[in-house]
Amino acid sequence: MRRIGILLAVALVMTADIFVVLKAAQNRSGSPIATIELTERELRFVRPQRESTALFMELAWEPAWGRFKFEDGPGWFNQAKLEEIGYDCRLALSDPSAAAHYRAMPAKEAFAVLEYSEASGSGVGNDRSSWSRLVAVDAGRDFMLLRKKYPDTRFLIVPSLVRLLYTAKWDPNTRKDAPGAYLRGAVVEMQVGQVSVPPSQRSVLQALSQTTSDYLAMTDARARGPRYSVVLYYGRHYEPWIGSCRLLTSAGIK
Amino acid sequence: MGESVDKRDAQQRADRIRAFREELAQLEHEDALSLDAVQRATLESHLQQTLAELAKRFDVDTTASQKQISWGMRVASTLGGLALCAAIVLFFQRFWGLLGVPAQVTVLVVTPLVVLAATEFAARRERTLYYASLFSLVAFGAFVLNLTVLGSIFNLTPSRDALLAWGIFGLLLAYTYRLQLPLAAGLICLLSYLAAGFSSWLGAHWLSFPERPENFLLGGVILITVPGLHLQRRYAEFDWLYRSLGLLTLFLAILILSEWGAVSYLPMRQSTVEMIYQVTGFAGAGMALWMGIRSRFAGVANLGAAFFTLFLYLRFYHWWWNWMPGYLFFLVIGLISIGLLALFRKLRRRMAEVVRP
Repeated sequence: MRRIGILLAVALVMTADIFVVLKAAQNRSGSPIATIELTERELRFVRPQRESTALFMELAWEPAWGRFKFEDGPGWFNQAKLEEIGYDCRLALSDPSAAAHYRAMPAKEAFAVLEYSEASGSGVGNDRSSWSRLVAVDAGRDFMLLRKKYPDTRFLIVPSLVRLLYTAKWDPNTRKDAPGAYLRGAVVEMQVGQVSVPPSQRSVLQALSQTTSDYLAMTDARARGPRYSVVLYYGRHYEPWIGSCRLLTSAGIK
Repeated sequence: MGESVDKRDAQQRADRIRAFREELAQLEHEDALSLDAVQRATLESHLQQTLAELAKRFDVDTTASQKQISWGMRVASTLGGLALCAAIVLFFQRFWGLLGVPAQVTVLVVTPLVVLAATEFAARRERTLYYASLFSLVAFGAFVLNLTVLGSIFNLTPSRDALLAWGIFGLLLAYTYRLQLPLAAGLICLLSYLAAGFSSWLGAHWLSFPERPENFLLGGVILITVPGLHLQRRYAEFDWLYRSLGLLTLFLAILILSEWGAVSYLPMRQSTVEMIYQVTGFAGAGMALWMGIRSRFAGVANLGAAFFTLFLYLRFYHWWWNWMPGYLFFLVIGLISIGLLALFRKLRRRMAEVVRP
């Protein structure tokens, strides 16, 4: 009996690992479904742990969390889009329990359409110059429909998590929610938000002493611009991997 | 298998012999019983022989101090297992960047297998299984690291199937060596897997499963029913863990829902949902208390009593805190606690009567 238990445990470990490796190989087989070159503004260099030697990059997009105001309105991610994604928005916003009801709604899976536009962060030197040039412009449940709608290569369609947000009007004088609210959606997370840097590309990034957040916090960094660019591929399972990294000569490497 | 059930019985017999010796000494001291020298020598020789036999065959604790040390060893093996898990994770992170992908994958695959071999080696060498328990926890941690890091290396979408694999691995370790730590870890993974399945089935992302406590209710009920299964009878030492984990899951889910009905799936007003779960909480905790006493499951009775008290105090807080002065509120709570103490004493006495043959 004990021998069977041990053999089953070994078989489980081996099966799970083979499954993971095959899944990864399948994702990268054939030609990638998307290829895009992004800069440090969109793929941010992070170090996960103090003692870790692993290198990761984090996908950043706009609008980033915390940049919403009531006056901005829902934009393209309105109630109709939320319902299309599968949120039940039948409860009237005037209902006394609406805030609690909508705020408790969990995240759902959807494909986010991110438009890459070099010109979107105009105004060199200001805060916006360090913002990501990837902007969420649409979301949906069907990849093929979205690809048909956005065939251009500047549109990256990636699996993400979206959330319904009950946005109440804020009265700064009373520091309380004011009458008036609307529902909007937000792309809150990418299903694969962190991309590991393969060993073949580590040497390129080894020259960087600072993570992106530390670098962009410096005032002169905004003027110098991003320090590197990365070619990112997406495979058959919509999972990314880094093809190559190169340092940009415009920014002094620090 | 039979050997381990015997080991439990052997420990119980050793405990009974220890209690018998203490009681015999007390009876002799009170002049209620006296044995002549021959009887005493025969009895002592028999008891010594029995204990020596039990210690030799099953490595049981034959004295109170041995038993205390055993508890210390159990704590040390748990802490040691956790510390070794942390060491493996940090060691891998420290050298991850220096290895190529094939080397990373090899290290990740080999680590849990090596620790599994160490668990088997320890189990063969030592009957008390303290080292096996420690290594089993490390093997579990190594398998969690294995799938997590492989997913990170290849940038894979997180999948709930990993929870299923970890859960089965924990159960395999637990049932192979009769260890409780990997069982607890495995059951938590399986509970999460089931809850994630519900979350996914009801349209939310699977990782959102902790946001809806109702996702855990079925898992909790399943855990409570496992000890009643025929197959489980050969592993009776796990029963308390299934019952306690199942009840804890149910009560925690009900507690959250009784306080915040907005996170329920029930298509009702928030206040109605909260009221339903408040009633369910009181009824469930009361029933657990009653069942625990009736069936002599001390853990079930304790959990029932703890949650009954918690539900009660939360109600008092909601009813009285806003309109009562603070000192009066705490005075009332203090008086109610004294009342509860009297009630639990009565129940305890009743429990003792049930236990008495």
